[in-house]
Amino acid sequence: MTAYTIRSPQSANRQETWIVWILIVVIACGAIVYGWVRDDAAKQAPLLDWQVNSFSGLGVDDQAIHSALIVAGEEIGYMNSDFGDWPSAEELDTILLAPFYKDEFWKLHGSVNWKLIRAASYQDGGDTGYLGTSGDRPGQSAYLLLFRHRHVGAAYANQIDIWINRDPNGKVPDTTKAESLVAAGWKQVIVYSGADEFMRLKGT
Amino acid sequence: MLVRIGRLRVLVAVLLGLMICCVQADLAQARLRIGVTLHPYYSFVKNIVGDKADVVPIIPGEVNPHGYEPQAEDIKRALDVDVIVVNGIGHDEFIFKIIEASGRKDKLPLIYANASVALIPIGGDQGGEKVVNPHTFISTNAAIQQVYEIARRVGEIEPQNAEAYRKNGRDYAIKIRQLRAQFMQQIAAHSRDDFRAATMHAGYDYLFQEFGLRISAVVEPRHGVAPTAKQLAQTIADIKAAHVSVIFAEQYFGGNLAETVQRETGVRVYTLSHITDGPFTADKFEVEMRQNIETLARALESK
Repeated sequence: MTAYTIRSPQSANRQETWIVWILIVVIACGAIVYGWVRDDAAKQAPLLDWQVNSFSGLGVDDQAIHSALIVAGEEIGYMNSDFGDWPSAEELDTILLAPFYKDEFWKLHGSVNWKLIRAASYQDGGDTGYLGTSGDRPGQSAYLLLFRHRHVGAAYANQIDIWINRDPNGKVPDTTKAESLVAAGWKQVIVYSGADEFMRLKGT
Repeated sequence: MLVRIGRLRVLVAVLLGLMICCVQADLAQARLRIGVTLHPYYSFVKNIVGDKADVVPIIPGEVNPHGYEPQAEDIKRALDVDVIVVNGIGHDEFIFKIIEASGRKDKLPLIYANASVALIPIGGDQGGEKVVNPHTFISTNAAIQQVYEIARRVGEIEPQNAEAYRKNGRDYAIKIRQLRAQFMQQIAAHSRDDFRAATMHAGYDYLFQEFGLRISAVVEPRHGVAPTAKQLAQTIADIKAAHVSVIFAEQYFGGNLAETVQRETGVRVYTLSHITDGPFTADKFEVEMRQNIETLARALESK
């Protein structure tokens, strides 16, 4: 003989309510875990207090000059690789290379005064630096484009490094080691690149 | 004896000739085939490799890449290339579906054109968020950075041609730089201080940044997505509040939204090219960037 349990409509409603609540909790937990994992994938290495992100931490003028410096860095690196020496800021102006080229972009972004302040050599190694100061736009920084790690006897420097100083007339210390620059008020710009964005989107 | 030596020479010459033909045939077969997703990448790669490699568009030229759904022919083409150059940051999502469908996921090498490009956010109000703009190819400087990146990566695949690719890439960069310089001279006489512009599509931040212009509003709420009536009303209010005088519509898509905005706000409408429609050609990027630059100059002059 089969036994049947008859539930009142009220108890059936309660059961449905419980199921709905359990589903809501499961979905909410899933969303939190997904968001946490996704957010984790989106993160670049955390910034140190002497670093600034190129995407979210720069004003309009600083961001425009930083973007131009990244491209200029490539071209200057090629020029050094081809000719062995480092072009002056004046030479970079003549080959139309932003942000050194004194065009409307240069004027609109503060008429920054660029100088080659040190040059690594085949014999002595060292860093090469281009300093941009005296920008006249509100909130504009000073800029330092560095070519790092040229070892003695090496043909070229292999690492581009960009720093800003919130003082548009910021001075560069005698050495361009990170700790000296930080002590002099400079911040290293960490690029948010296409590679970072691809990592954020695809997680690989 | 002399006759025998003569025959031997002829035989050796014939064999050598055959060997050379075989090697040449092998080399011809071994030509690198580089797939590309978007028109600017076709132009970039073609200018870098010249006639040393084949450049293969993966999708047809006359389709809108926003929301494109892969077709069987695309999958066939993806099966027949050695490497694909991709935008990879949101403008060619279709390629990842195509590669997956071709069974070459994790096997087919990809060149991420934007790997070393410093990205910037979409202009205008994006609800307080900073959203990455994937249109790095509608630009001059960011385009040059992509040319350098592609030349470097293709050179790694074909080290014997690396120097030629690097040289071609740099020569092409000079052409792009000259194009930009020409525009800068053209606009020198026009003040940009009170130039307030909106765009229909969030595609032009890199271009505007490089020319020192700013975007006050974007009509599309998200990339490739038309606004709802409520969102459009809000954008129209923003355009009025920001005293925008010019709106840039799309040459290839965008419907008649620009007319609506013009009617409601009185702004002047100009059309920019997204460089993602029509035949794939080596000079497409230069031709359409020149048109864009001339349009910007006209908009500034009429301000």
